Amino acid sequence: MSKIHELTKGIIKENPVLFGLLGMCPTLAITTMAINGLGMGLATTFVLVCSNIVISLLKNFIPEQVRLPSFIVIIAGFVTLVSFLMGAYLPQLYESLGLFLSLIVVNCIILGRAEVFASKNRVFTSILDGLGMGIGFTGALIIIGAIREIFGSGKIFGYTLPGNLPTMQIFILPAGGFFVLGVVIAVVNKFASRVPPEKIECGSCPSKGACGVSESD
Amino acid sequence: MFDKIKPALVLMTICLVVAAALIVTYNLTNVDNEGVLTEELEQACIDVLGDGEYTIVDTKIEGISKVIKAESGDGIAIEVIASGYVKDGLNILVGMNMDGEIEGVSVVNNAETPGLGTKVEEDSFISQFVGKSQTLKGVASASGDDEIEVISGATSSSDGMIDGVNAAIEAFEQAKEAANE
Repeated sequence: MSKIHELTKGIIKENPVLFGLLGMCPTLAITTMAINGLGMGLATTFVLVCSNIVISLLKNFIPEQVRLPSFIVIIAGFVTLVSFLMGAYLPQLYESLGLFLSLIVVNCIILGRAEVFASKNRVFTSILDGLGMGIGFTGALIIIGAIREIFGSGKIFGYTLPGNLPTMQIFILPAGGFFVLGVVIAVVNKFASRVPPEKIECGSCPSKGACGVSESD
Repeated sequence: MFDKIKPALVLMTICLVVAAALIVTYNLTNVDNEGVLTEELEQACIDVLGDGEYTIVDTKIEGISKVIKAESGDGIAIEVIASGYVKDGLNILVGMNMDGEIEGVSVVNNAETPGLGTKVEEDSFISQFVGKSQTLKGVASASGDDEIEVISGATSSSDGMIDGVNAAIEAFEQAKEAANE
C-alpha cells in the first residue's frame, strides 16, 4: 500500500536530518540532552503536521505570488501556538528549549515539506508525510542527544548511568555536536547502503528557483 | 481587476485568521504571575529559609525582581533575574537572614546551556554563597571571603549567578526596610 510508504519514507529512507541534512540548527543546538531532542522533535512534528494540513487544504486558494509569505505566516502561527501551549502546560521543557522553540519557524524541514509536498498533494497524504518526517526528525534528535548526553554527562534522560563513566565535556559543546552528527550520518548511511548521487539533482530542493547553481553542476 | 488584488487579499485573510486564532489561544493559556507568589517561588522560599508563611512585599527596588518576607520575621528572600550565557536565563531566589547573611540560594528557573550552565544548580557551587554578606567576585580558585569559585566551562553562567546574588546583597538594606514597614 503506497500510502504507508508516504509515512515510512521520512523515518529512514528519506530522513530529513540524516539524509536530507535539513534542520541542522536545532539538531546541533538542542541535542545536549536526549529529553530536549524528544521535546523539540515532538513540537516540530506537531507544527509540521498542522501546517501540512492547512497548506494542503489551501493549496488551490493561495496564488503563486504570495505562496511563500502565506506558508510562513501559517507555519509561524502554529509555532506560536505550540509556544503558548508549552509555556502553559510544560514549563520545564519550555525553559529548556528556550529560543529554539521560536526557531522552529525557520526549520527548513517544515518549509521544505510545505513547498515540495503539501502544496501539491492531498490532505491525508500530507498528514502521513508530515508524521513520517517528524518521526524521522525526532528519532535522529533522540539518537544524537542520547549519545551526547551519555558521553558528555554520564546520564540518559536525566538518569545517571551505573558504572561511574568518565565524562567528556566536549560532547556537550558545539564541536562535539558536529562530531557526533557526522558519525551518526556516516553510520546510518552505511547501513542504508546509500551512495552519493552521481549528479546533484535540484528536483526536491526548496531553493531551486533562487540559488545560483545550475542543474548540471 | 480582481486577479490583481487577489494575492494581497488572500495573504491578508490568512494573516487575520492566524492572528485571531493566536489571540484566542493566548487568552486561554496565558498565566499572569505578576505579584503572585507562585508555588514554585514559595517552594524556593521554603528551601532557603525553612518552613513558614511567606508574603510578597509591595515595593519596587532597582536591579531585583521581588522581595518576599517570612511571616516569622526571621528573614527575607529576594528574587533576581540575572543573565548568564543566556539573557535573563537565571531566575534565582536569595534567602537572607535579618543580618544580611545569605542562608541559601535557590535556582527557580534555569535557561542556561543544559548540562553545562545548569551545573550552577549543583550543591558544590551554590553552597559557596551560604554565609556571604558582601559583594562577591568570581575567581578560578577561591581563597577570600568575597570570592566564589566559578565552574570551568561555565564561566558566563557562574558569573551570572554571582551578579544575581550581588544584586540581592546590594538591595538588602532597602528590602529589609520595605519588609518592616
